[in-house]
Amino acid sequence: MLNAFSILLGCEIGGEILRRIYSLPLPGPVIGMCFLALFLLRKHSALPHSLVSTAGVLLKYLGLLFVPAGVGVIANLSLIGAEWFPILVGLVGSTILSVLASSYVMRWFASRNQDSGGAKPLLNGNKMHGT
Amino acid sequence: MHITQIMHNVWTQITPTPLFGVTLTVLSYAIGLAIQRACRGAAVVNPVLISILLIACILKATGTSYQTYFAGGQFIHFLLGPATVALAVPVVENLEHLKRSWLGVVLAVTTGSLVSITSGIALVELCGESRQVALSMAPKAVTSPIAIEVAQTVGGIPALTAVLAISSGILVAMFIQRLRVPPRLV
Repeated sequence: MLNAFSILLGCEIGGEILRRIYSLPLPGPVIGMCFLALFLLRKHSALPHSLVSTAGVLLKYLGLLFVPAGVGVIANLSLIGAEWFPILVGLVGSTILSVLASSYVMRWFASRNQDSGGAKPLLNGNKMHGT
Repeated sequence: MHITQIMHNVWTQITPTPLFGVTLTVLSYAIGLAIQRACRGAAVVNPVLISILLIACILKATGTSYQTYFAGGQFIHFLLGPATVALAVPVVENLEHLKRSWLGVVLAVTTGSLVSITSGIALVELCGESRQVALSMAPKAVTSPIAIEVAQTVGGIPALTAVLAISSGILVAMFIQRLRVPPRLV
């Protein structure tokens, strides 16, 4: 647990350092995630157990972790009140459009692959969406 | 001293401490989870949205500021960083599944993200005039912890993006169920 947390925090701070040195347009934790993925891929053996279990706990309660940020909307209630219509149209419209686009591309790719006897399609070719 | 006065004194002493924000967040999330379980895990009943609403109502009703709440909330918020890094673990674990059709996944994710970003910005700009709202809409398709960070980077409102990302996820969950039943809808 302690080792795992050191690795996670180490990757995050590494990401923050890299972001600041090269003024990258990516958030530090996202760069840190890439670090960890590369690190795990380089080790061809099984994933370290403590890291898997600690990551599992953090991700199991991922929802809890963005509650404080979400509560911040109470500071923007007047903005939401004034802009509720574009927000609603943008949210529903672009969500549906992007799901349709993703699934269309995935299906097109899967059918093309099936013709050449390739891989089976993934059920939901979607990105990790929201929640 | 009168009992309500004692309670009032205790309240004003407790609320500025981190204990208040942390307890309120954990409790309300537990309530949100319990409600979702009671509703058999329906996608519309989202524990995160429930706890955000619950806390927002409690803060409004008691006249407690967001800053006061965030004295504790920041400790939970801080864990978003390591949790985002931890997302690498399921990615690597599922690499075998991804390998089979990685090109399709990459193409589909890229297309979906581009459509989500451009249509989100375009629709908001078309119907309203707030640049900040448009920028908050842009990163909503990505998983919430990353969306919050991206909103901060591009100049959106992280709190608004958090709520949009969660709502968008709920919409997708509802929409996908419909999409899957007739397999050739698209």
